[in-house]
Amino acid sequence: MVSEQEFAEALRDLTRDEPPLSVDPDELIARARHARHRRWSLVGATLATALVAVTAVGVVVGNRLGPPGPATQAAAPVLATSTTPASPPAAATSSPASATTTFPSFASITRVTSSLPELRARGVGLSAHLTQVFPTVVRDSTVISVGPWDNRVGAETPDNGGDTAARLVGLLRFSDAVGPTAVAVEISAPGWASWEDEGDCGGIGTDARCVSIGPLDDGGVLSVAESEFDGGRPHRRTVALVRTDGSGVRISAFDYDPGGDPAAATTADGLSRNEPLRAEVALTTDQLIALVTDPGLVL
Amino acid sequence: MRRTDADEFRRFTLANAAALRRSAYLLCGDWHLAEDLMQATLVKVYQAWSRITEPELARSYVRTVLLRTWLDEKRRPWRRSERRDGELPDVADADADPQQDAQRGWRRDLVRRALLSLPPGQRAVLVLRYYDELSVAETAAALGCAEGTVKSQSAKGLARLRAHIARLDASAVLEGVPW
Repeated sequence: MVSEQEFAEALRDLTRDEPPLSVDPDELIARARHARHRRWSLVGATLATALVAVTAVGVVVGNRLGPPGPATQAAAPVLATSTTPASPPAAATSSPASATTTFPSFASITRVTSSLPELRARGVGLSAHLTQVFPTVVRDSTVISVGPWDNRVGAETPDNGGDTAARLVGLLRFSDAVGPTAVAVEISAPGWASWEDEGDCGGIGTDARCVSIGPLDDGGVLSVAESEFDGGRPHRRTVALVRTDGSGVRISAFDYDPGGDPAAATTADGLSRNEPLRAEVALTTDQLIALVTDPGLVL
Repeated sequence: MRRTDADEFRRFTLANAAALRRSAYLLCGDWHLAEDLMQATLVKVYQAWSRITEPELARSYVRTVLLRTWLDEKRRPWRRSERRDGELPDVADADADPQQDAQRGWRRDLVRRALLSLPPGQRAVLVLRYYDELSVAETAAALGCAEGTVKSQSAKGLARLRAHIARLDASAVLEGVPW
């Protein structure tokens, strides 16, 4: 029998043989600044695009209605760019200059959890929904299987020992003209799509790069990332949607089959990479956007 | 960010990085991953540093960020999985006593395996309560859950851990080992 005191001592004993630590605060600061700079650049690019679109609309409308007035205030922005404060630490004071992200503020969002039976039932419904929707988005494809879903709360143990869960993660396997492959689907309940702070706009992998990021009319944020680069070519494309209630959908497509023979795993992060590689990632950005914005993909 | 903020962050990092990495190791069971988690956590903390006004708040915040970073890492099905085999760091123990070494190593391995067998939520509760020595209220704040949840998860986690240790212990014959 392990008493609480013995357990506490055992935990301390576990860390006795730690390897040497070398941490460079300046390197960490440089990484943080780089991530912030990259995000600002993307926001700036989005704003610039919106400005160009607004100007173009204004010019067209002005030409049709007659001589332009001194101001073109009637033109509504095509892209509503609104920034919300970044999630502050609990009880921290908020700085007026801290509006650095377009993501919903998770500080004020209540996380919603479900019971495991509810989640399992929802997984069955989502599988049926995706089986129906996917071929309408990816033409000439045949869905092979969806799931099994993992709730990621107890990722390594199907019985998570708890009574709450907030996510479903699984592979949708399908076949198209090229052959079999899969998309990785992750659906988060309200308050749990918190991948906004990863600095890679929802991309998967340590080399993920933002392709685009921008707000939707309803206040949600849509981002596109690519990763697993090999000679400048990405093997994975990820589109992520974060809604204003903190729920979200993230779907990745690949230029290989990640759901085939597990023994074929060759990537450093454990994903099965079944070759041959396709000429392109299986789904286009537009197809991925159509999937993540499907209103049926909610927990 | 002001220079003083950067200086304060440097001091905070140097003072807390080791402890943060130890907590990360207990959560993930791998020193290399723990190092990555520690660094990713500190990068995120730096981005919010100008809004952290008190040292105690920083320590609390960094725990929360570490937990979220770890859970985010875990929920990626294609990310590194935890190591449950008995890889030990290649570091000499200056205090090693040959007679006690076997017992200590066995007990350490038992606890490590049992801890890694727990679901993430229970593991986090136990690490925060019994390693970081947080109160129930502080643990609830760090995890963003109710105090009742912390109590129930702590009780379930300990019970499960004891059962796992007993099972592992029974599967081996080793005289003189505690528990």
